[in-house]
Amino acid sequence: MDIKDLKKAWDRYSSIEKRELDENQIREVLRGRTRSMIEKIERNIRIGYVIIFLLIAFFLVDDFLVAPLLVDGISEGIKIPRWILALDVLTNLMIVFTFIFFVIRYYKVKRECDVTCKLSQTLTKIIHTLNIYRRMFYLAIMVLVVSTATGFIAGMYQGVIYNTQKSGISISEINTGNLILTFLMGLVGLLILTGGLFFLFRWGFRRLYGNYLTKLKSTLQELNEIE
Amino acid sequence: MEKEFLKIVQKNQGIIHKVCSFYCDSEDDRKDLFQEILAQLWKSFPSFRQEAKFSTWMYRVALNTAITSFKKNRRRPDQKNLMHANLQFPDEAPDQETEENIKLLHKAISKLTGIEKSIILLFLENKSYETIAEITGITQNYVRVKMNRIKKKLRMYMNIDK
Repeated sequence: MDIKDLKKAWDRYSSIEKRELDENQIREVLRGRTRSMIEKIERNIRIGYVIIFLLIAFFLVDDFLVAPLLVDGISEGIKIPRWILALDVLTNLMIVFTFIFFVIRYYKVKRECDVTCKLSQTLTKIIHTLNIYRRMFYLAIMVLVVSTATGFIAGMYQGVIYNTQKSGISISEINTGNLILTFLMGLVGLLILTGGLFFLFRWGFRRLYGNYLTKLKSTLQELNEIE
Repeated sequence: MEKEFLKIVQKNQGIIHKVCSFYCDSEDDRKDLFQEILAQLWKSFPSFRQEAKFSTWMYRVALNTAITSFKKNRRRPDQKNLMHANLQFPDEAPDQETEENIKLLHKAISKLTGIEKSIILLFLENKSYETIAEITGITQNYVRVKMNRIKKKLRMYMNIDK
């Protein structure tokens, strides 16, 4: 079979393959549609950003309003040290800036060309959107981990100070080995939680969109080879 | 605007059907892609500028949607058999040789990449290299180069399958 036969076969197929829908049927198809995968992802990104924003707001309120009030209520005279507050401010600022960066990036990608443009632009937009979606989860994990870590350090520090004052001893009298062991156990717990969340998400993302992302990237690569 | 859109799509719907039959193996996939292309056309319709031909614009949206479509993992009985079973010839049945050739054509096309499928579809639709380049967004020279490669590939696949 040659290309000429192929063309003949296609012409023949096109002439008999007629599935005509009238205007009403086309309207029905349009009304009955569900959101496409990319539209769903875009909606999830927007919802995700609202959730992350609320999480950040919650942790900021907790760090600067609730926690100091609670510490004051439990034990008078004990103040959260400045270095812990500085650490909190620094990490929170880092999270806020990362969040703003992602929101700006998302809206920049959203403005990129859609299906009406060149295929390479369409592909780039979808790949960027998927990457933002993936990074958004990492951002959420980071918010949780950083807040848990600073909370853990502050809590541990305050706990030790409070207990030594209550028992009437100084910190130097506490067994250093025990202190280090407690700290390490907390750190391991935190690492397991973070690592677990990270790998769980990575596995889920690859399972859902792994093949799709690979397909898009290879198509884009094919186009880039062309250019 | 909706009325105008429906009218113009109804007139040119053959393009969507052809793209769907080129990119999908099963009837369910065809329906999904048809719906998705229609939705993308409707979404992009306000940005359609009259300077381009509607059919050219429609081909671009339809092909971009087909190439970037996300296929759900459905459990299907047998992909190949289903694909051939879908090739129904309702009114006037073609002769056996043409029917065989159509099946062979579909089988060979299914082995091409998304971009290759779009180029060969436009070629089979008698589009000039200039129009193919305009629709796919690649240069005319490369369309020529790519077309030669696709022809070679198709010849090879068809000979193997025969």
